[in-house]
Amino acid sequence: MDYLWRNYDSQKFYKLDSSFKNSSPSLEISLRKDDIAIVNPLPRFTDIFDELLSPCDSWKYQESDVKALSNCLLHFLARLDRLSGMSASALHEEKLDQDLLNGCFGESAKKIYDNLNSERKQLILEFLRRQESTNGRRLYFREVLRAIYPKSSIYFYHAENEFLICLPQKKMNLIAKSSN
Amino acid sequence: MKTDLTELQNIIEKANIPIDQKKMLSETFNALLARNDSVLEEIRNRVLKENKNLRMDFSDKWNIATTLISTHISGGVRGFRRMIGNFQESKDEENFLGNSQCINIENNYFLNCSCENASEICTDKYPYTGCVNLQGEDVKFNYRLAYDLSYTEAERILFYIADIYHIARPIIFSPYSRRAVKIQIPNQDQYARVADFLNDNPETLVPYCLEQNQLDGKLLSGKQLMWNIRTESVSLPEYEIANDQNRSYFAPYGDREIYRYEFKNIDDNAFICPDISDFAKIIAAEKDLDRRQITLIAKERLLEPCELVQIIRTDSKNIYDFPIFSNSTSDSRFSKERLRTEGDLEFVLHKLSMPEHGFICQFYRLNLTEKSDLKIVPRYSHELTYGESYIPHEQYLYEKRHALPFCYIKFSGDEKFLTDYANYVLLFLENRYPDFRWIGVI
Repeated sequence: MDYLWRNYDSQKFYKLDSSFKNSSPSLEISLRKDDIAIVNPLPRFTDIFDELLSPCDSWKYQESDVKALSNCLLHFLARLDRLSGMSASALHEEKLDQDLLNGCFGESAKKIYDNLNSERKQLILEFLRRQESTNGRRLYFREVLRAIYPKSSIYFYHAENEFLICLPQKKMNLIAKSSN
Repeated sequence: MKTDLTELQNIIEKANIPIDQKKMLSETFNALLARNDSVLEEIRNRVLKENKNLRMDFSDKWNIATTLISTHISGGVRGFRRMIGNFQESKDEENFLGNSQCINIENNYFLNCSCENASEICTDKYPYTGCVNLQGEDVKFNYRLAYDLSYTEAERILFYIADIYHIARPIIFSPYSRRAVKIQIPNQDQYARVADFLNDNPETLVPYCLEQNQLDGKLLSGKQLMWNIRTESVSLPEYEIANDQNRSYFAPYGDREIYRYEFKNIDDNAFICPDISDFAKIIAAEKDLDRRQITLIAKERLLEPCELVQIIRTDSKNIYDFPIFSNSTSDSRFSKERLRTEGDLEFVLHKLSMPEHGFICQFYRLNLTEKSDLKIVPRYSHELTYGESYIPHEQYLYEKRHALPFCYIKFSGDEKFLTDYANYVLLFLENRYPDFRWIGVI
C-alpha cells in the first residue's frame, strides 16, 4: 500500500485523480511517474476534496486552478501525515541528534557521528535515548555494536578482564561515509 | 493548538472570486482544518501520555511468586501456573555435540540442597552409579546430574517485559529454577534399554541408588515449579478498525514509519509482550491505566501474535510443602536514584530483606580496596544468573570498574537458600546502583 507521505518531496507534483479512472478505489496512490504522483482522495480525503471535486460551473474552464490548489492541499496533507507519528521518544532522539552535532558529547564523537549514514545515526540515537532513560545506569555498547555490525562478536575474558571484539568489517568503515 | 478558522474565513471572504468558489474554498478549508486539529490534538495527547508513561512506575503491579508443588496436587493451586509451558516449552538451547554424548532423562527433577552443594553435585563426569532390573537381570549404569536451564530461560522474558515497561524493582526470586536438573546417562548402545526404562518410569528414584551415591534426600521428583503468571496468546490488532476496539495503524514521522498497536481492556497487572522474534522492532510500550490500554510502538511491522502476561494476585502464605518465594516488598518503589549516605543504603537494604523467610541483608563496610579476610558469597554462574548481567562487563569495558569502591553487604538466614537470596539482592543492587562493586559476605 502506497501512501501520500511515503517518499515525500516538496518538488513533487501531486495530481488529484478527480475522475477516479487512474486509481484503484482502495489505493491512495496507484501511480508514481517521474515527479508526479496520482492521488486517489477516496480512502482518506473524501471530506476535504468533496467540495472541490463537485461539479461547479465556475471551475468548468479553470482546471489548471483546481490542479494547482489540489497540489497545494496534498502537500499540506503529506506534511501533516509526516508529523502524525511524532512521539516523545522521537523528540528526545531529535534533541540528542542536535546535541551530538553541536559537540555536546565531545568533538571526536561529533566528528564520527557526523560521518555516519542516517541509518547508523538512527541506531546510535535509539540506544543513547534508552541509555538516558535508565539515568545512566545501563550502557548499551554491546547492543549498539550488534545493531550496527550484526555479524560482530564480543568476547569477554574473565581472567584478564579484557574484551575482544571481532568486527567483520574494515576499520575504515567506522568513520568513513558509507552506504552500508 | 487550534487553528483559527475565522481568520481563514475572513481571507476567503475578502478574495475577489465568485461566491461559488468562496463557498467551495470555505468548505474545503473547514475540512482541512478539522483534520489538522485532529492530528495535532492526537500528537499532543500522545506525547503527554508518553511522558507520563516514562515517569510512571508500574513496579507495584509486579509481584511475582514462585513455589514448588507436587504434581499430584489436584483441585487447583490457588493462582499458580506451571512455569514451563507458559511461554514456550523448554527453550534449552540445542547442543548437538553435547546431546549426542548423553541421553537426557527429564521429568521435573529438583535438587533439595544449598546452591553450593548443587554445583558440586552437577559435574561433567558421570560420578553416580544406578541399577535397574530389566527382565530379571540387574543392569548397572553411570549417570550424572546437569542443570536444567529451561526455567532460567523462561524467566528471561520477564526481564525483557520489565525493561520495556520500566519496572524498577527486583524482577523475580526463584531459587528452585536454579535447582532444576536433568539426569543424564552416557549415550552408548548398552544403555539404550536402560534409558527407555527410566524415561517410562520417571518418578521413581529407586534405580538411581541415591543412598549409595550420597544423594539421599537431595533429589526430588514428582514436583513442578509454578509461578503466579498466566499467559495467553493475543493476535495483533487489525489495521484501522473502529476506535473502541483493538486497532493498529501507521503514524509516520518524517521518513520513519512508526507502527502502533493498541490493545484494549488490559488489566492493571497485565502486560503485552511481543513475540521474541519481534523484540528488536519495539521502540516503546505504553500502559495507560485510565483507559486500560497498552500501546506497542514499533519501527517495523510486527509479524507474530503477542503474549498477554497476567500476574495473578496470590497471598504469600506457605500453603504447600515448599516455601513461596516472592519479590514483594513492603514498598515496591525504589525511589532513590543515587546512594549518597549510609542511610540511603540501609533504606534500600531494608526493602530487600525478607523477614518472612528469615533473610536479612545489612550494610557491612565500604572499602576502596578489596578485602581478602572475609567469607565472600559465591555468585551465580552466567547461565544461572537473573536475566542478563551487563553492568560488570560495561564497567570493565569503560575501564571504570577498578575505580569503584567495594561495598560489602552482610547476609544472614537459612543456609539452604542464603546464596540464592544474596545473589538476588546483589544483582539488583548491581543493576540499580552501578556506582559500587557489590560484594556479599556471610
